[in-house]
Amino acid sequence: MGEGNTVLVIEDETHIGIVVEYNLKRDGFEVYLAEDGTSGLELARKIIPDVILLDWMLPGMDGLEVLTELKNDKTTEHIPVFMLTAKGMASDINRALDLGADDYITKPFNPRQLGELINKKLHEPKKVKTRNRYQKAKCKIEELHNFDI
Amino acid sequence: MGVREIKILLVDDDADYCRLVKMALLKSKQSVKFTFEMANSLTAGLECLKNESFDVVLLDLGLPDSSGLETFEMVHRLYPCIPVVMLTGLEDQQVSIDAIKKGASDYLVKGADSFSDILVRTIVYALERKCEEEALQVSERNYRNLINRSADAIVVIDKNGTILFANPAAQNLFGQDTEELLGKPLGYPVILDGPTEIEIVRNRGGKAVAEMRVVETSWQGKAAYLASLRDITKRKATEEKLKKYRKNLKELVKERTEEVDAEKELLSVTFSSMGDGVIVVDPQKRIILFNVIAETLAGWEFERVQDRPIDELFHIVNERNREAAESLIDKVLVTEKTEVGADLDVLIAMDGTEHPISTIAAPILKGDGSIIGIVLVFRDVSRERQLDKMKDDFISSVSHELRTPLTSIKAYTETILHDFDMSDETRRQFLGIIDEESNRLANLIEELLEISRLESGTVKILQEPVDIGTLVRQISSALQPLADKKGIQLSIDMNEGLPELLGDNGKIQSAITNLVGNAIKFTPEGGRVCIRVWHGLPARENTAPLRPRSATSKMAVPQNADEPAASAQRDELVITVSDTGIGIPKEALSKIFERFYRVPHQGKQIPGTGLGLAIVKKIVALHDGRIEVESELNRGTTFTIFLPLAWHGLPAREDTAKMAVPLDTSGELVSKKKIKYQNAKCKIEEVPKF
Repeated sequence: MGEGNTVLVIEDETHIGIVVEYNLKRDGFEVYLAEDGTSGLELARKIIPDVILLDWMLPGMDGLEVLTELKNDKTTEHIPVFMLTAKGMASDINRALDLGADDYITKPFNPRQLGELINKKLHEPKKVKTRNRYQKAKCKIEELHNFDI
Repeated sequence: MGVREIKILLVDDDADYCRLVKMALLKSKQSVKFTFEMANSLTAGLECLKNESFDVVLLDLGLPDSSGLETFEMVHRLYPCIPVVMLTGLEDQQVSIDAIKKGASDYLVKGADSFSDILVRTIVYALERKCEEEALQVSERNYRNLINRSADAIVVIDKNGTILFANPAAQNLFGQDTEELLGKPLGYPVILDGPTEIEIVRNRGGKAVAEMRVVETSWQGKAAYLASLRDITKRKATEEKLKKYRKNLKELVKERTEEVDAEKELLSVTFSSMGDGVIVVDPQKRIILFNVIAETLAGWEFERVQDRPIDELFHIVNERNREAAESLIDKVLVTEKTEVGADLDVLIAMDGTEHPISTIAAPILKGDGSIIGIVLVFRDVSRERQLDKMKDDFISSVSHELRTPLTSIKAYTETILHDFDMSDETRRQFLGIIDEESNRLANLIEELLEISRLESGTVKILQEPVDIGTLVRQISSALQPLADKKGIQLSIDMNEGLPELLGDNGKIQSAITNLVGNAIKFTPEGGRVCIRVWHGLPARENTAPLRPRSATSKMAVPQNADEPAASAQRDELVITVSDTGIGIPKEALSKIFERFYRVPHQGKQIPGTGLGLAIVKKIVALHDGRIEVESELNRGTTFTIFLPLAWHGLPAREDTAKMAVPLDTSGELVSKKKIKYQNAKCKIEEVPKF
């Protein structure tokens, strides 16, 4: 599935990083991990991954700041970014999407479904991207929200 | 003068004389027609008079049945209105003169020359005289009538004040009749200029008041005074009553005004003292009233805002979108009911400062239901908003913190369940992580419950003897393995014979354990952690200089136990935990005791709930103690706990933000001052951090 595509995961919780990496590797992706925003940006600019999974709550520079940086940088602005976070309010979703996030995943999530999600995003025809992001994301969130706490 | 007919009666016994007279009268040149009757005795004459009316009587003095004055008197007595002319001889003139004195009109001497003319003239004059007399009598009667009937008293007094005349009204007024008054002095001063009021005491009892006016006059040919008096007793009485009534009224008004003033003062003072801002506007939205809190919050003084439209003065906007909030006043003007403002309203004062407020506006209705004004009450809800925000933040934090380990647990579980060709080693590793994260979750839940219990006061703090020495040694040995793992040197520095503390062993142990645990956690390999305990006494003059109370970022690890890092203020036990760890940045020092606060730094976040220090602080506070921290980045941190030895079991009261009751500058309550809107300084103290 992964076909050797690279995924950059910027997440400060080590354990989450490990389990995501394990599952994505199984799906054939090449996975890179960063534990804070600064090193994450550095890594992104260096390897130009095909997809970025970005945690919202990070030490130091927070997730939204990192997102803004990524989208403002010509070298990285094209990379699709998935926000990962425990927050789930509509206002937060909107903020992320307004800043350029391509999709939104709330914790807890099923790491085994990540691969599929990423694949879909990578194989999306370009013109679909001009559709309303918010509406797309809304559908995705509804799909993913199959975990009850 | 037209021809007059005069009827004459001649009473004379001399027939010849009678004929003479008759002829004389008929011959007269006067334009008078005489008719004539004769009688030759008094009796006959009287008889004639009885039967007919005559204009004149010519009467002879020497009649057969009467003579002299008697004759005249008889006639005159019976017929006083008819003029009588006496006929007399030369020798009887005296009698005639007497007769005239008695009322006869005239007398004629018989045999005088020009008898005829004189006769006629005499008669005519006699008649004239009679007419005049009559006219005079009528006139006199008229005037007399006026005087007698006059309601005003009329009194004539001579220059000495003796009463010469008093009319019936005067007799009434003085309560005396004419005999009693005449010749007596009036008894009141005569003042010509204006009416004078005199009081009269009546003989037969009773008083009267009269208004007297005096003018000069003449009476019986002599100078006199004419006094007219008007009885004004009744008027006086009415005047007195009116005066009393007016006085009474004045007093009532004064009383009432004082009452109203007192009410006004009370209202005004209440208004000024109210803890909420109150603004009253008229239906055109101009400001009528503006109390002290309003002045403070809006940044305007009443004098400057009076009568100005409210929209000019300050703005209420929505906190989020900064749009002007729907004008509450406009709404009330339309609905004519009380309206409550939106939740997120913020008042922007004249100088730009903002206050979050809650508003409520109500119409002021007149009896007929029309609006005569609107009263707007608002209160500064900064504290409430802040509390709300803290609550929201807390809930946000909690849910986030809980979800994080849960995410791990679920993710790993899912992975293990569906990966059939996972190696045993990996599976073991993953199960280990699940275990770890479960513990983490459990700890978090435990700490959350602990802080909740402590905060809500549902936990009893025991008051048992605490042997601090033993406690510290226990903690040290419990944490030794953890320190060993990182090669950290853990030491204790305590004097012997430390006083016994009263407190909750479990809680104190928990607090110190937390601090030591933190110290170990945040110190890199090979570092040092030291626990010190000593008995602190209040600092005296000649001891080491005091360090400032507030936390500084100086090097915190003291060199020896005689130099306490922070000074005691009462008789207390001082416990310090120092380390040579990574330290706490200055900005974070004031926040580290907040719930969920974790010092942000680059690189991996050191695991922890952020609740530990909040719990420690709460425990210390419940023992009436305090906690301080000093730190320097990359050199180390020292936490100091002070626990009073004279604790009586009451937890320290935490600071609460207060809204100061407006005081004037002298510190007295406004109620003691006059009605004036004070520009009191009202400060809202900052809400302390947790």
